[in-house]
Amino acid sequence: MDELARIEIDPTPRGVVARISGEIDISNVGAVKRKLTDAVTSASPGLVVDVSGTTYLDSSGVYLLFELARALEGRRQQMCVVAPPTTPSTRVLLITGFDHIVPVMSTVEEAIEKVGARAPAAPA
Amino acid sequence: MRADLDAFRSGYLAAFQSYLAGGGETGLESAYELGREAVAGELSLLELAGIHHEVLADCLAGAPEGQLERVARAGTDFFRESLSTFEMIQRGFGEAQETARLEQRHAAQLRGLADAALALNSTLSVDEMLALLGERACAIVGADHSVVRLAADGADGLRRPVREPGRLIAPLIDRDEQALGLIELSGKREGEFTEDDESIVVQLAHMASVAIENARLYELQRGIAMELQSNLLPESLPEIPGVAADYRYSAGGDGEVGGDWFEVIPLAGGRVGMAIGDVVGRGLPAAKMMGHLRPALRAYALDGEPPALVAEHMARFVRMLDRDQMSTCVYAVLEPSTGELRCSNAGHPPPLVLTGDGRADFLVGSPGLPLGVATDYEYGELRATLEPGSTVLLYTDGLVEKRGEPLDVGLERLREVAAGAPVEPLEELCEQVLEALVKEAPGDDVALLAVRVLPPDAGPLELELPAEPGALAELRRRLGAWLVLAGAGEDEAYDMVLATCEAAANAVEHAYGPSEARFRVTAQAEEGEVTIEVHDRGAWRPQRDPRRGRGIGVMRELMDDVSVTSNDGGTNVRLRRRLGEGPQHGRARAHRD
Repeated sequence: MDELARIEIDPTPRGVVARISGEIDISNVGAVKRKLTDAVTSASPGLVVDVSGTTYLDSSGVYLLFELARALEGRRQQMCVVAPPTTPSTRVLLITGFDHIVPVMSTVEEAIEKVGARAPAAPA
Repeated sequence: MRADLDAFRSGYLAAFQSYLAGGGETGLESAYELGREAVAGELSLLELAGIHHEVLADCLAGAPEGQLERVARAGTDFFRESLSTFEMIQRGFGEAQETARLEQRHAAQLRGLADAALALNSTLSVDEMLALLGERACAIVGADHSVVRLAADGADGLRRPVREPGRLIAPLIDRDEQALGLIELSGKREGEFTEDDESIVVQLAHMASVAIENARLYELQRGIAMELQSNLLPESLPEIPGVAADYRYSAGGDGEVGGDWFEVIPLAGGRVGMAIGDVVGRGLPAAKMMGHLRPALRAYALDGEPPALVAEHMARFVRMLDRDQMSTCVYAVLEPSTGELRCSNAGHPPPLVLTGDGRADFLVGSPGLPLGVATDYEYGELRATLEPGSTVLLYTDGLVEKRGEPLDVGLERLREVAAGAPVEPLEELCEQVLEALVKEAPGDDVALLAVRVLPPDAGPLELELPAEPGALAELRRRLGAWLVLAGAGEDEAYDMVLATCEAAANAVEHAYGPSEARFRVTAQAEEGEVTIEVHDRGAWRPQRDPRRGRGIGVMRELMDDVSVTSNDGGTNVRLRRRLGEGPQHGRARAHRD
């Protein structure tokens, strides 16, 4: 899609897993959003966005994740973000308080569990 | 037994008188007998001549007038006869001498041949061989001119030697009985070319043919190996912020390609991977092996694995490639902002760490096994902290090994030379170390790699970029590199890049009309504090836009101080942060650990 970021989509029965490697900034945030939105069918329990391999994520990227989570929530689908503490992107998720709005997990397994459980989204 | 001279004289007188009395018709055999007696009695030719003259004088004195001439003539005949034994012996001696002379000459020729063989085999250049062949052949047979021609240069396919008046030609025949060329000699100094000359030149030509064939084969192989090696060694080292690097490579004296290699690899987060290795052996196989090792190491290094794991992967890789081929290597990762050096050693001489004030210490610890020795082996890791201005030297054994000398002595020599060499500039250090040590122990290949941690002394950064979203990626690279130079750690640099890009994203998204589509970023480091300014020519009000508000919030979390000023000239965002302390406030700090 784009030189900065690469997205791998893995549509498991318990939720779609999207692995983003590379960088997200205002130059590609729109494209990333389309790709993620298209990946989630209405039949899927939800979306796991794995940013473990994302080396750069700015506030526009955080805002994208926030919007996406809200849209899915409206469709009764759960979104989780995977960002282990050592991942660079984790910093900006914490700084912006994103983790208070959308669940941020350390592993894909935990996130899948959360999504598969169709738990209601954490209150904003 | 020595004869009595008087008795001999009496005998000589009696025999001569009897010869005279016989009218010169009989008694000459007695003269022959006297000669034999003289030789047996060890009389010299002079003594015999003396006796003859005394006897003749006596006889002449007693001879009647008119008989003098007859007596004198008879005396000459008699004396000549007595000399015949001497003459025979003399002739035998002469022949023996001549034989000895010829044999000596042949021996000299054989010696010449052996010398020539040695000379031919101690060069590897075909041109030199051809010159040597002509020169030596002339010297051996005593000729003035030689011409050596190769079949490739249009010489005809002569297969047998030709010897004719004034010239001698011998073919150069290779192992497959193909005519390689010929050597032609002329201008023989004494007489004509002989059978001996021919046989010796044929032998010499044969030896030269073998040597030429070997040299051609060798040059072919060497050409391939050299080509391989020049493709394999880096043409230049990558430029990496925060470090200076230089290398030297010196090929061994025999001109054959060696298995020494090295790498400098920029890694994620501003770290630097560096490696040096030595494939045991020389020539094409070593060059080929090296060709496998370098990309493998790069791949493992770029995976970001710690040195010990990279060494383990390499060991397994080498083992898989060729069980007979052994090689050694050191792989180290340097974090320029902190000077932290982590290093694993697979049977290689220890890295030398040289401080800015000239202290030199080896990075020792028990070195691991060479690569290719064992499949499952755990490598240890050595750590050191390099102060700014310190240099780590990686090298191959050619720099410190000298025949008949313990390795410790060579290592100590390196330590002393490195400690005594000028620290600045780096290339001078490399030059002096190489020169001093290669002079001491020439012959082997030497690779030397020096990586220095630069003091965090970055001049101000000034960037002017197009106000397009695509410019942000470039801003991240340039600012990130500058921050490493300024002494920022990996996390600090990440934070400041993120904060700056938030400000720049505002500039790109909001501050512009199409006509003024550029923005400026400046950065400077002073007394441990970094100040970054992002300036555009528009005006934006962060608080009105929730997303922009988040951008400002991110900046405030990441920096110690953020100020935004807007006026007619545009908007200026100034970001400041002290180095080495983490942001002074905010959640980011609390969550970091």
